[in-house]
Amino acid sequence: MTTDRELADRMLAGDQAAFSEFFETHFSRVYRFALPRVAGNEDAAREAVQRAMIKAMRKLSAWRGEATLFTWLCQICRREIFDQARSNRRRADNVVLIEDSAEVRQALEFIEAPASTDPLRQCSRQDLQRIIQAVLDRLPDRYGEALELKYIEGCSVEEISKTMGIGPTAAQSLLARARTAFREALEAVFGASSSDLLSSLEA
Amino acid sequence: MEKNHEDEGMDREDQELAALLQAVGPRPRPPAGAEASVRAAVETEWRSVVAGRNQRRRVTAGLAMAASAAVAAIALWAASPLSPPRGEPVATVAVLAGSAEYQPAGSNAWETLSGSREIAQGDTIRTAPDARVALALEQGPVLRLDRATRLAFGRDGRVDLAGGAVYVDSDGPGQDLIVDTPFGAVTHLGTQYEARLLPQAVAVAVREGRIRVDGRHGEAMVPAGERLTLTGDGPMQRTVLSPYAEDWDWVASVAPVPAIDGWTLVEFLEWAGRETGREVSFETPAAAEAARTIVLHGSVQGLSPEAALDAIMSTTRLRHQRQGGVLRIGLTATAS
Repeated sequence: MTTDRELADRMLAGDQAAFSEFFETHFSRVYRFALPRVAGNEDAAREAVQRAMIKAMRKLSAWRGEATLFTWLCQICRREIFDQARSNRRRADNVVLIEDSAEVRQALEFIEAPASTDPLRQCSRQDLQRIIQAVLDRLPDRYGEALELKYIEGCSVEEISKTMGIGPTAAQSLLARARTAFREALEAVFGASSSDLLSSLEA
Repeated sequence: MEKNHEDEGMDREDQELAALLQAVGPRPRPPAGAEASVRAAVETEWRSVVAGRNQRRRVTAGLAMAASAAVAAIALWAASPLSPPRGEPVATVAVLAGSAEYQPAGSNAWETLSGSREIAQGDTIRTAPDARVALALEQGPVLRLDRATRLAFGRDGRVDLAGGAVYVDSDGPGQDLIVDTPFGAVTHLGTQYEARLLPQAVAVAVREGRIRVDGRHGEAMVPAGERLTLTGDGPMQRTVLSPYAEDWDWVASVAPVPAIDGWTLVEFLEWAGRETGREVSFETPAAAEAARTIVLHGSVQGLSPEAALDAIMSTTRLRHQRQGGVLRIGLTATAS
């Protein structure tokens, strides 16, 4: 699997396939990051993501790899949304989300680090859904896509392998890693298991 | 037995995971079309960054040579295509909506484009993701550059589209202009058309007249009302696109607005019809005669063609109605 550093280096060298991989891996995820922060305004989210990704291209050679490319893109996007809201006072739909609180952000961006507070108790059902989706977005290596295909769309391993363009064995292995990573991430962010979270959602 | 317990445990965990993810629901997807437009803008910037790095690398290499053989290196640099002499002016900025930059021929630096700037052969223009520009070419046509577009001005009336989209508005085939793209060259035959770069293709849509596209695998003529999508090695795809479709709306936002003072209403209606992709039709000879005799005074600067049309018509004894591709003009009840 290509690391972020390798991907960035290939892009800087002008590798078209690397650009495609970068864009296809990150666009939807950064869009989902932006969307709730502009009150669900799809046009504003698209513009913010476009500005952020263009800025990222300009700064790519200065990216040091201390954060993942996705985290870095989210940081740029958050600043773009903030700057846009500040420069355009007519747009009063800049939204501060619970996951932008320092504790939850730390847990999301450094997913191995446990949160210092209990976000589960602070969250509405809607917040909880969005944060779990944000956790899926932050999982590496298309884990989120594999989990959605398997557990939301009900795809077989065979179908997942075809959709993701990998072999059935690789798909099986990817799913296993994705399950483990997802459970660990939920534990890191919420300090709770999937069954606890399910209970909270159903409460 | 132990294996069975493990399997049961995994099944239960799987079921919990499935229930959780189903309760959460699928992650939202970006709206259709958003990905392609953002990708085009980001890819344009990426190409620009890569090109800049390569150019800097070549310059650095040239300087290293200079350290060992200064005179020879300077001569080589002077003759290098990186620093061609600044060419003759080929265009002027007609409309600047937002921020755009230009890179003079032979320079690595991007400079802010001002409303009075002359563009010379060899210069490159790029528009910001929220900006558009209209350029009046010396040889006649007007080019309108959409957001996140990059266009270089070459020799012999050729421009090179490296990202985004350009709209060509030309009165006649005598005005030489060829738009080069990575997928083929577009020659107009008296027309209004758009060439838009997509991630792996170019889409050429014709609003009026017709164009010729010379792709890697042959030539194609595209008439008004059609969009041709051309990939590097796949088949050409044709779709219908009406001259008044929403796809053309961006063009109006950067339309050069003429000084209409002294124009007859007919002249204004012809302009408005062309800008909005509609054919002007008079309901009666009396309406046509009235339009020929009404002389306009004032200005519609700052208005879009649609808004200008509404504003001007409200001051006359004529009424107008948009019906598909037709702009119907009639006398008001009191006038008739």
